[in-house]
Amino acid sequence: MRREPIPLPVRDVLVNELPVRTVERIFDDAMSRRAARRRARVRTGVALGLAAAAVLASFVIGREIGRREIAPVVTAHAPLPAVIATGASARRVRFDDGSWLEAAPRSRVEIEEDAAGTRLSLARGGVELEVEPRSARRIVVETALARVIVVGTRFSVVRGHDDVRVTVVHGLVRVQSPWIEDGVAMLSAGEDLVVRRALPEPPPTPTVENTSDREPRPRPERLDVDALFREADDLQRAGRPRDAIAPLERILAARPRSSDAALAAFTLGRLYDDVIGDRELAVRAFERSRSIGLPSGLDVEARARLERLASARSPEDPVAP
Amino acid sequence: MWLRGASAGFELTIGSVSHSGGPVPLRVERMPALGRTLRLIEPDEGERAPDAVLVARATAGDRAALAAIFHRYAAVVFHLTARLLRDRIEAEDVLQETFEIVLDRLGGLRDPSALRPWILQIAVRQARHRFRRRKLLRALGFGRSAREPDAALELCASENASPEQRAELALLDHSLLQLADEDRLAWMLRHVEGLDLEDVAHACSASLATVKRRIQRADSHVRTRVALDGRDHET
Repeated sequence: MRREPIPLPVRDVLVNELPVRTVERIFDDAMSRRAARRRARVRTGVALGLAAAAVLASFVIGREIGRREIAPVVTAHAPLPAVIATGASARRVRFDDGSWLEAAPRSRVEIEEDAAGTRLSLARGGVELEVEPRSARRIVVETALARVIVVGTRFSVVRGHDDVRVTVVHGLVRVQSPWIEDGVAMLSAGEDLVVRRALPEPPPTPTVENTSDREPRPRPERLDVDALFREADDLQRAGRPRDAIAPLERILAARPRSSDAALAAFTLGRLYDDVIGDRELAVRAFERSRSIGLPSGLDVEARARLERLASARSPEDPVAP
Repeated sequence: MWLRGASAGFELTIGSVSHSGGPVPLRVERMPALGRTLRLIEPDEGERAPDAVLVARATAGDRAALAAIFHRYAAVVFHLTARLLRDRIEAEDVLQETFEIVLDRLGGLRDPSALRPWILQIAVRQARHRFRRRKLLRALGFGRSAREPDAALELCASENASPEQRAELALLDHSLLQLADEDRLAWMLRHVEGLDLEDVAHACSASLATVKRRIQRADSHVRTRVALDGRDHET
């Protein structure tokens, strides 16, 4: 067969046209694919934007939650606010002795300070306090239903619609209310108490709405016990431990079977044991406090002290179980 | 023929696409409002406008200019890639992909007058992607389908080609298949498509010396098997 060379460039003997209809179709396809890709890009952008917004929102929420712990703090030299009203987040206020209180979200706490100490009126919500054990500050939390007196502790008070819950994290608090048995209760670590109003209506007690009075109007016998405990505390802090014995003994004499008497006996025991150094009287006081009935936290401590004191005594004088 | 008129809310552009021997359709485009004055635009403006003018108009959002660019280079890109890939369907895909890239990156073209080599470079790059994909599929055991190539050189012969030339085209197609992809690509761009050596180098994204070496290597292989008319003195 005869060979016929192909001219260069080879395209001269090839088809080089493209039907316009095909060109149109491919152009339209390219344009619509481009538009679809743009729409996909927009969708991706929106999705990424939403994801970024979600990340940002969680960051802000996380930071807001984190702020609970580092909420605005009133330091030693700043004046205490008269009212703490919280919104969606909690607020912590630190006292100059290291004690602090934290108002829960949507709470209102009115703070009054005078020579007698600090009085917190919980109008709504809840408050948690940690009081420095060595502090000379006397803190009282008032609600419509109960008054919580700090002995040296960490605890919370939450005011509900028709009740008040007091929870003790560690230490000891005294709760006074006409709505609880004997009018007073001692709470130690891990214990909580719900105070509810019961029918028939008892005599009115000091309420938050009554904050114009600097001091609430407690029943006379409660005031005596409080005053005696306060006097004993003050005398101890003043370096006169022997003088502190008398007010505690008066409580024991006035209400020999009450929880106040148990606490007074326990306090006496610690005074004899730790400060005065009279083991016999310390043993007697601890045994008496246990026989009246101590809250579980204090009872453990009283028992441990009795065992320690017994080990230092003669074998023929055993400690009561 | 191009006729543009601005009416109350939009501008109409009526243009024709010239193509050798093909029909002359009319395109009606909705354009951004430019004013209310009607004006006639010089006939055949779209066809005769230089690349740089079309690029400037297309970059400004003129869809008619985009269409003009597409129509100007669609056939070149299609046949180039069809002959490289020996597959018309794949060539259509490559043409579409090429122009999507062109539309996206047109604004970044530094020298608008270099539109042609730029488009060819994109098209060749897309074709090379296809080569690599085929190799990978073959390596994974997924060879090409049983479909015969529909764009082998002898199948692309024009009506004017003699039977002897068709036979030589078949031989040429066969001998090109025996070459390495890069050598075949360079030789085809140079001797099948008739590009300048600089354009071949640009399209292959290689240096001039490299493409010369590739073309020479392919040439010595092809010329022992195929009767070619003329010799490339540049290489």
